[in-house]
Amino acid sequence: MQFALSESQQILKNNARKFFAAECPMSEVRRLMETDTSHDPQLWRAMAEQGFLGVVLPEDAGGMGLGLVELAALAEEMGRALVPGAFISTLLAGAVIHAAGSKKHLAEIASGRINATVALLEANASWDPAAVQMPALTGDKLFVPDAAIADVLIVAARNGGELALYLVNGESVTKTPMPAMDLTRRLYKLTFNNPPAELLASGDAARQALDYALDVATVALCAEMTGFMQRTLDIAVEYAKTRKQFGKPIGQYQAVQHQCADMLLWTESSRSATYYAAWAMTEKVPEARVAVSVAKAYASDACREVGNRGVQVQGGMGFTWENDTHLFYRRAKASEIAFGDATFHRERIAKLVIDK
Amino acid sequence: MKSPGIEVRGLKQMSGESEFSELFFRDVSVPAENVLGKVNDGWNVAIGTLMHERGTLGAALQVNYRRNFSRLVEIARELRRNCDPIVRQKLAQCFVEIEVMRCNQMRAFSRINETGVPGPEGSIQKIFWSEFNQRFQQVAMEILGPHGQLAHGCLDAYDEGQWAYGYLRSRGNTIEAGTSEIQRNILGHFVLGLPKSY
Repeated sequence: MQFALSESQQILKNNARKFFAAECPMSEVRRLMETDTSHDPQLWRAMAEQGFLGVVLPEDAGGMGLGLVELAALAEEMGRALVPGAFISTLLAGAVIHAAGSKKHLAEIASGRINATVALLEANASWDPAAVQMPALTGDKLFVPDAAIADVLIVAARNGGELALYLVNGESVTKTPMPAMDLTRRLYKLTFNNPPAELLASGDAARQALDYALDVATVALCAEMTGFMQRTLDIAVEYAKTRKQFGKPIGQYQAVQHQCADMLLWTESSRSATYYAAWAMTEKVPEARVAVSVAKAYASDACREVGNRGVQVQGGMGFTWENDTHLFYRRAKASEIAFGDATFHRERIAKLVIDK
Repeated sequence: MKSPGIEVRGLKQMSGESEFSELFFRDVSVPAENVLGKVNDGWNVAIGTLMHERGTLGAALQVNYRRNFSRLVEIARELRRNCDPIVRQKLAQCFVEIEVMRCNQMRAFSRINETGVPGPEGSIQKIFWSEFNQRFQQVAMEILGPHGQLAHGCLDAYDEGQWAYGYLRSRGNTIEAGTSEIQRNILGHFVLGLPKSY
């Protein structure tokens, strides 16, 4: 048994860290969060050239054909750098198309030529695909990430009583921004009025494709959250080492030091759970779904609490706009919510473990 | 331990047992070949032992915890608490933490395999298993309700009173093998590089 990154996985992670340090420093994050879409086409193209946009897509569809451990390693570094934009939404869209057995748009997604996103949630705000009510294809979809730059939409709707997934041209719907806490990923309300649509999957096939793709994206999101936690911890520890009070660095006081120790415990534990889930999904072990929910339930609570402590350790400085902690804190909340929070995933675990 | 001059007095714990003792040494002579490591290097020998304990004990405990969890799920079913959404949330959270503990432990073993020695990050496991077990025992008490308090010797007690015992015993978890406060000092100083607080 070896629970650690292989040499090639470590190289991929190191390269990603260097790439994002150079291409997306915090000054760039702050510039992009002042834009309407938080998306930078130039950065996106550079990411596509690295192969980042098609990491888990098959090679014959223009992807790198790698597993979820590699995806997690990359996403952790993207989280550490707080890379703004459409990575997770595009990942989810590509995974849905692929899981539905189609190759449509995959090569263009991997090469960065088009962007895609998934429209799932409605006013009932449930992450359970069974809660989809919108008849095909008239009504509103809410909380759709990065929709403004999406050329292709994957829309979950009801075809008669059945769940169905449709491919819809991004230009054929009305997009209304939903300004929210996170400034690095944008949400939109989409209004559908019978646009032309192509059926991707329906019934059980639609449900299975959506379930699987959501699990893939959830693992990547947990890895990003691990990255937020690591960076928030690093910022707080650095501050605790340099900021002096009563003649000593505040990190020497146990009241501060022990909060940093807790942050470390949550960060490392989220990392363990996330990479285990990534491995379980790649190896298709029977408990893979449980492992994904374990990681998301744990990381959702941990990421929020690491953020809370990160602000607290830095005192007044931690509460300022100029300090980067709140940028991670905002994205952490959006990530905690995305694909189901801890409560949602604990209930999923209860169904899979307690009810079995 | 049979050497002349050694006196052992068992300490009775709040759980009722005596796992720990007071040791009294009166002019005990020890042959030189019994020195572990080098003279004046006892701290490193002791801390090496403790780091092994902190870094690896969680692996065995995790198996126990998983068994206790399965039993508690059975009891929740018997008492018809398994459909209560609050109970479900609490049980699922216990499952999450046992799984995370297992994953942490697998990563720690892989690291020890590579380096040959357990490092100070083993304190993460120590904090995790001890504080988790206290949370778990409390969840068990909530699910068992009035049954939880029944002790060994009560014929109506679930599992011969082990839940009441486990609840009391768990208070020792955050003290034995180094208190949670000491573990956090270790993480703060030796892993995060913060200045020593003591």
